[in-house]
Amino acid sequence: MDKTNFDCIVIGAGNGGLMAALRLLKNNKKVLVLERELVPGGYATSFKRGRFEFEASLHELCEYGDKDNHGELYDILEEYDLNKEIEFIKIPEAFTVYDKNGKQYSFPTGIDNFINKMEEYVPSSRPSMEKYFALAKECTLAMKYLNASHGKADTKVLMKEYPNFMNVAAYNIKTVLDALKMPILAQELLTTYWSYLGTPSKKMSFVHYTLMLYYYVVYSPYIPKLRSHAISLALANKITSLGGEIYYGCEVKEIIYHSGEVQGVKLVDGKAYYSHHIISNASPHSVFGNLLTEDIPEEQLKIANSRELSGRGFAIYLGLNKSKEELGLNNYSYFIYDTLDSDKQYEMMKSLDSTAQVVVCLNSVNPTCSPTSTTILYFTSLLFSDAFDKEVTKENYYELKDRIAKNYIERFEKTTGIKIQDAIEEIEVATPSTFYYYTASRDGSIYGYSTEGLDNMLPRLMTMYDEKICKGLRFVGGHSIRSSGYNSAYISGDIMAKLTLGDMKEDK
Amino acid sequence: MKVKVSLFSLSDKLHFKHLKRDRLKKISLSPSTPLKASYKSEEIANIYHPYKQHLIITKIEELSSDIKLFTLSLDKKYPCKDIAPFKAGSHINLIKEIDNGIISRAYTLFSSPKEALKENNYRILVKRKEGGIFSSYLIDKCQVGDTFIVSEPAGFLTYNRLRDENDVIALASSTAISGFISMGYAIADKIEDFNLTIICGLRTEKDNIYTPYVEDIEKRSQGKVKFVFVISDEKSENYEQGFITKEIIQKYARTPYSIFISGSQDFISYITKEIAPLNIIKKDIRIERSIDKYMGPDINKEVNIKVHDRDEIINIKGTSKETLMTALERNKILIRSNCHVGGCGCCRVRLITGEVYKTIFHGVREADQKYNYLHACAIYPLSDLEVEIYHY
Ligand SMILES: Cc1cc2nc3c(=O)[nH]c(=O)nc-3n(C[C@H](O)[C@H](O)[C@H](O)COP(=O)(O)OP(=O)(O)OC[C@H]3O[C@@H](n4cnc5c(N)ncnc54)[C@H](O)[C@@H]3O)c2cc1C
Ligand code: FES
Repeated sequence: MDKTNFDCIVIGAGNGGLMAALRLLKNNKKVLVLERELVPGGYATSFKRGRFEFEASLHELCEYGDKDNHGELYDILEEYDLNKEIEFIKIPEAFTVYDKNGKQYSFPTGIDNFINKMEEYVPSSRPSMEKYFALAKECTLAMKYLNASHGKADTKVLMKEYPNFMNVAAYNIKTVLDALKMPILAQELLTTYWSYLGTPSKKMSFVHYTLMLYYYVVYSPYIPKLRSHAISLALANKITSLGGEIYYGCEVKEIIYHSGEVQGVKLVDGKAYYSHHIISNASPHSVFGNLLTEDIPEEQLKIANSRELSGRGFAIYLGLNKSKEELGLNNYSYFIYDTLDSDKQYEMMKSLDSTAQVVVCLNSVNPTCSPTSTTILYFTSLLFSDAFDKEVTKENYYELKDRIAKNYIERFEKTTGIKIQDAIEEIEVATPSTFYYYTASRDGSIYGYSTEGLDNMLPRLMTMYDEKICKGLRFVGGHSIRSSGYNSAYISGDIMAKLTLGDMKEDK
Repeated sequence: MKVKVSLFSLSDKLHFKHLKRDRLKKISLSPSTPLKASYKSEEIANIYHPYKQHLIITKIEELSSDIKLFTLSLDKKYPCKDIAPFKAGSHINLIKEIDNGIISRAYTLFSSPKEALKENNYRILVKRKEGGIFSSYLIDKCQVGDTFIVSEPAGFLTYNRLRDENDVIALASSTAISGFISMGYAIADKIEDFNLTIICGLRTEKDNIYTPYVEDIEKRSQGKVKFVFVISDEKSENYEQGFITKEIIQKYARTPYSIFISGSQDFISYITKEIAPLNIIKKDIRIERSIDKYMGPDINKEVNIKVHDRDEIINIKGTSKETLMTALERNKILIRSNCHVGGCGCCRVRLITGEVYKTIFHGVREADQKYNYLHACAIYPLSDLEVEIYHY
């Protein structure tokens, strides 16, 4: 094989791409990763401003844990010896959420603690909460069984072992929580994390949401001490040490496709690399919108057209010149909603007027993340429409950015009573345009495809072996089978690389 | 605990089984129409962050014997239709291939951000620097029609109303006033709104080549922008005398204020000491840095540098006197660059083996240090090196 031929080419060194490359390398394949940026990770990165190093995206890592109590992500990193390599910090709380009157609810991790707290806030919620967590546990076991059965799950086993899972699996959160007779306020508090998936209670699969919440509560959320960039670099470093190549600053412009299968890729600078197997961290909307535009197999367009982009991202990163104690920032994450009713909130987030936000104070769990007497605080929000696209122009971009940022910051101050404006030493604002610029994610959507209705994790996984693929081309990351989130993007990389290894066997 | 969740009907389990069928059906019923090739947010991103701009010099104005004002417009040979917009105070990075290699330098934009977009050009003020290869090239050789590769505008010495005070005192020496003139225009053109007092140190009256711009900006800004020139080398009734001092600052400042500083390294060291007694908090002082040179004993040491660029290996020579970036550029290996001070990360490289001197403002991410990623514009080789680079 010469220098331009590979067993597999991975487009994009985001979480999904990096993990996929590792699995292939572990199976002794010759792998080339092409990344348009100069750093690996996609969203999983950090950036410096003045004396601060900001985390670009990660609030909380899900499905991780520790040696004795952990999720799948821990196992995967262990396989590559990376749990030692990367220093992780456990976050001792689940979340703090504010209702529209500024009333604050704080939840700890651990099932019992969580249920007790809920009982404090919502008396007589206990029976339904206990049922909920028992059901949640059954769902996680059922999913494990489904994943292990590679699309050939035995209905009899499911009926016998996971009957409740079978009962609820097709329903949205709201329907199931109603059936559990959970008081409304408890339902609303329980679904606080909805904005991490970007799909509200009536549109969101019960199982999908529940898995996420359960993993956070049971394994606790984690973050890497040196920002997500530390995970990305550790993965990239592992790729190189296993003999893989990563070429940075290399944007793929075209996927070479003929005779019914992929042949390789062409870069923006004209250089070509060849392989019959491509794993793309760029989404189907990017690939079939820009990279492979002729002779697209019809069913690929149908699949893509059956899906919607997820929320467009908006984020503000603040470096403050006071300590979190001076400012009174006592929590790690602050969920601030206009209403605790997620379906109503979702509708409100179709407009630039909404200031619903999730705010993280990094120093709360990572005290050395910034110099003494300073604090890193970052805001994330989502837009569920083209509200940004409709308003932004070449002329108003800076002004619009500042205006939205100001609204968010003032909203935070008003709700929490914590004054931060006078302490701003560094500020960076990321709009959908910024997210697109750094990851090429369509329209700056940050959570892959929306998980509404039939595009949640469960049906994605169930049809994994039935959906046709464009021969040789598989997708990883937030748009792939497990939907978005660090854990899901990583795991999708692992799964899709395994399928690609299967495709390679079929070649022979 | 044992749970039993009964929902609505016996068909719940069937619904589960049907998820697969329903999803496949939904797909089969979806249209096979082409996907959107672009969204508005993407177009904005592409306008603001072009990968490379190809510009051509369309006008050169001689403002004094060693200062020229260059106008750079789009080179019509390339498809791009608009220059990238910028915030006043930003710089662009000019790249040019000359006889013995490539050179790249950052220049702060002098233009009014609004006019620039209207006229589709950038303006930069260039002063001859002693021993400066690029400035001499621009002043002595460069002509209308010459072309450059230019980065997107960027920079950290820009105004932000959420961060900075309403009043800004801008301190500059000589042509480093460029970015502040641009800010003055932004205020005069009403695209930014704050009070700006620009205090600029000059040697002689003759160095004040800014009168037409000053008059235009002061007139249109309705009192929001004020210029104060301080002359050091001769007596004059029209100007403040001597160097910029804390007294002069206090004379013109209205508290609270932010201080923005731009100038030569000497000016910055002088002025930071001078303003120390004013007790302005760190967050209200923003400085346009310039790079410190390696001054060690073995400054003339020659080193061999083995460069990995994708699957190619190139062997070049460098010295401890020049940065890794300069060594690469002299050998016509172009990597991205922007700030040239070690802060933006455009010139990221991986050091595989060897020793380097890192300048004070060499600022990589914490995890980068662990895996030896460095910024080529702000490191000087101290030994033979092996590096991985990402060409531009
Ligand atoms: C502000 C914010 C907060 C978040 N918070 C959390 C959180 O707390 N917990 C959590 O689990 N998740 C969170 N997420 C979501 C999470 O970051 C993503 O789901 C995940 O990183 C997606 O990974 P991905 O594999 O899809 O890759 P992406 O990050 O989308 O990476 C794709 C990569 O491919 C590259 N690429 C694209 N096109 C090309 C091309 N043509 N040629 C070469 N390279 C290309 C891109 O440059 C990029 O590096 C957050 C996201 C954001 C933006
Ligand atoms: S060019 Fe900015 S760090 Fe080197």
